[in-house]
Amino acid sequence: MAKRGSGVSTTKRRGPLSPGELAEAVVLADLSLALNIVGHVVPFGSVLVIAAVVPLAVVATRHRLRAVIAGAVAASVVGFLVIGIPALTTTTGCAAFGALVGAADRRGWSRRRTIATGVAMLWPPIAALADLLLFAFPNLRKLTLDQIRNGWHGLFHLFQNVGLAGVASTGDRAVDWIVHHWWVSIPVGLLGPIVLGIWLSQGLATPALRRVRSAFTASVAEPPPTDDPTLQPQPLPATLQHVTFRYPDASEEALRGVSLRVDPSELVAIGGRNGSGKSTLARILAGRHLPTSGRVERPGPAGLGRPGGTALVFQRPEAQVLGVRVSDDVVWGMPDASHVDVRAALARVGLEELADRETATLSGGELQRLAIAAALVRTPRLFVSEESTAMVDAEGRTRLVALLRDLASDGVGVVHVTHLPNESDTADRTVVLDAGRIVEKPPAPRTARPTTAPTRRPGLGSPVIELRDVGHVYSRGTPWAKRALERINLTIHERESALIVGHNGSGKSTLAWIMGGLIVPSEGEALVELGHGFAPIAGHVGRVGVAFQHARLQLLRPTVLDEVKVAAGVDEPAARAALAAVGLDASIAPRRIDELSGGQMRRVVLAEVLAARSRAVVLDEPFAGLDLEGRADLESVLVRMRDDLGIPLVIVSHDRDLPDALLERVIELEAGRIVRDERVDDVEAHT
Amino acid sequence: MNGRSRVPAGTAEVQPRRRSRRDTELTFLRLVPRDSVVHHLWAGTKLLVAAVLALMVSISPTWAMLAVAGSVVAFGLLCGRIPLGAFPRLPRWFYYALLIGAGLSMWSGTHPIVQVGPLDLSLGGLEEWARFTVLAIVLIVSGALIGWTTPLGDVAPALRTLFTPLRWVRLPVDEWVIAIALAIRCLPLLIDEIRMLSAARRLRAHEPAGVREKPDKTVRELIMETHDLLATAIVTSIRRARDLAEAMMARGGLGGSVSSGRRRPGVLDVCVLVAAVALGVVSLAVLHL
Repeated sequence: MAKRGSGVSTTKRRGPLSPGELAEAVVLADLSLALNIVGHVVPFGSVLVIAAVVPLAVVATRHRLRAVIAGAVAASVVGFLVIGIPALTTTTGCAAFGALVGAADRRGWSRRRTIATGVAMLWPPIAALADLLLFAFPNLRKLTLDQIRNGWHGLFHLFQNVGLAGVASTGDRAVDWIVHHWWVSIPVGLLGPIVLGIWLSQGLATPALRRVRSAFTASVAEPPPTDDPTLQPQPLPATLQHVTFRYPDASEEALRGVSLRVDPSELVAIGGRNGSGKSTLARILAGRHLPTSGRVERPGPAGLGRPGGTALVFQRPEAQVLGVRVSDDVVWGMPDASHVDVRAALARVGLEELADRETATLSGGELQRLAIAAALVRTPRLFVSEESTAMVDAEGRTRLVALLRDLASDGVGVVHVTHLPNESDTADRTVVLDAGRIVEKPPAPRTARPTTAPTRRPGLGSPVIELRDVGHVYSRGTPWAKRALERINLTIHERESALIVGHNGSGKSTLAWIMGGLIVPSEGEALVELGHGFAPIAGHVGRVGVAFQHARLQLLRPTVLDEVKVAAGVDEPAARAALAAVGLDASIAPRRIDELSGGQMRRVVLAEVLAARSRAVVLDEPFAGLDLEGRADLESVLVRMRDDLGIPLVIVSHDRDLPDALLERVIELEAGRIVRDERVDDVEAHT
Repeated sequence: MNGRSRVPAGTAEVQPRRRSRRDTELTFLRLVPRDSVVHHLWAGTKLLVAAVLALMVSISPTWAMLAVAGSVVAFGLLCGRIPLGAFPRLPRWFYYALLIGAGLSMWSGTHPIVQVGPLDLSLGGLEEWARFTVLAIVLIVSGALIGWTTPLGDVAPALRTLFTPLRWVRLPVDEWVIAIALAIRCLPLLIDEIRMLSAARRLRAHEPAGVREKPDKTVRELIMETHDLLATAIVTSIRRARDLAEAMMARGGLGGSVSSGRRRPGVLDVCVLVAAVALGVVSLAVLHL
């Protein structure tokens, strides 16, 4: 058979699951469960139940059966808590079908062979289980079978009334026979759904599996090189000598001949633009990767995550939370949770009040401090921050940097990766990387920043978006009712850029979704001007474009050009023109979405907005996680959209850290109300 | 869920014209914040009591037994001070389906039968239908009660204890407990992701001219769209999983604890469990044998 599983780790593992296997199994099983849940609350949801097989089939193609089982157990338990006993049967069924379809895909089986194998492997146990349960609970069996009989008898009775007496009496007799011989008829009756289910789920899974395979050429995350758990971790002083590193399947080295020494009690900043290798260097220091060539010398093991070893904190706040509650997250992975002083660690980072809160309610800055608290309970000797400040607002950033400084003065060696020059200034020394090498001076930005246009721009045009007394309450009439917005009056004009700023929970995301027409406000009206008058935005979804922070979720087709064509409903020349208008090179058109950087993905979404001729665009945190160059590129695109095409920009963000050219009108939200709405000149005068 | 995520909730069912209609919403798996006896019980106790109730009504699905089990659940709802608003609003088609079921069973000819004018209505069929429906409701509400009164973080450590017998047959219980804890943690994120995807789908492919006369999609296009959404959801999930794996490795891998687990079974839990088992045995002895 053709080697279809290429690109996936082919070594046969044994023993417990690795973190990489477990994480994929859990997240994909959760996705399957989420599809199931949605399938139970919408009509014709059975399509979704078939779709729910596919994520588990992905687990089965990429990992061992043990991972499929762990995922299925987790999804069954959680599903039981959400929708009760039906979740147990559907999840088990999805896992069984998924394992089969995955195995079929790995081995390249035909449809017919898959169905034959599936029936041979799945039907006997399912039939036996069904009979066993029916046998074990005779009264419940009688009640259930009576339901079936009564329903059919009722239906046949209706037939009789419309003159189909023959059909009715035959049907009645057939149903009676079936119910009487349940121990045969139920297993036989299960055969049909099993065959159909396998047929449909394989049909749905095969294209999805192909795409997933092409999206992930690199093998799954391997656990760090094992260091001897009997040895006491002793990560510092660490000396790197001519370290070179190349990711598996990568064409170029991420690091080339880097030499560096890190000592206790110092704060070392590592700078450089995206892709310069600074994150890779941080991970090698943390013991997460072994260098491809060169040497790393330490007195003992790096001990990543072990008490007294190395702590590693990442860029994206929500991606590194593992606990359901704040206190759970602090102790996650500790050998003995009962001896951990959770309160003290939380107090150190200023979160002592939040120990019992669910982590899902925390802001980005709070989550990063939580990650530091989780590191502190391990009393690390080396603390590595991999751009931990990049997605946090200015105030949160200051706090984090101060915490890192404190750690260093307590004797911990701290390595802080950042692309922000002012953060490097607080460090004891700074190492700048460019294209995988340490350089003396930071490289000059590749493109000059667009002129900050002091020229007076033409005045604002006519109104495009109007919100009149808009208010919104989630879960109205339940114990979880929550007012998100109250009495919002707002007009956005042509050639205007408005920044909507507010903390977590201020209602800014809700406002963004209302402006995109994705939520109908529970009070008031949200209108868009369509050239012939105003109409409710929700009736014209897409006329106001929305660019999510997580742009990948909006890019559904496999390649860039195809994506723009389908999303905007335009032909190829129009799509190419739109890509050019957002400054994307023509060579990007045939590329696959998953090869793009985060900044490029966001620009593809803007190309779609342009191609679709949307009247306005709402952008959620457009600059989050971009380096200086990415910011400059995006800024010039946005300025051009606004000034040349007159498209109003509504930028939603948790801070005011925007390029000057876009900072024009600031609308501040607090607890669902507008507390300030000013032109920037006025704001400047204020502060 | 819980209005705590970045993505606004309840966006999948936007219906511009029928604004007064209450949205269908998922209200399970959300803690109703109260300070009650039921809330203070150990999560394992509640799971075991629910299992005892399920066993009782499965062995003997009679009205009497349903009344016993239903009273226990109702007592739990009262003690936990669960308001009516916590119950999910089911979509309308669900009630239609129930009514159709009732209608058909009334025609089934199961005795006893009453004559209403020209019609023979089967009270027997209706009784069986009602009993079956009530049984389903009792089971579902008993499960929902656990979700309404238990902080989600307490579920995984409780299961670690309850799964102990499985450990004796060398099943990888610790692995499963970590998986369950992570699944609870990630489910809200994935439900958000599905909402985002559904929003992304709605934002696409409107007519560029501005008139929203969406042409009927062909079956082919619908299938393509399903593939697109599914593949995107899976790819983003795998990316999320990789971040998660990195985070786990940064905490030293899978060997440690997953919860601060302050709650342990106490005296009250033992009392409740003994009472539940006693109730189960006695009611089965009296009502079943």
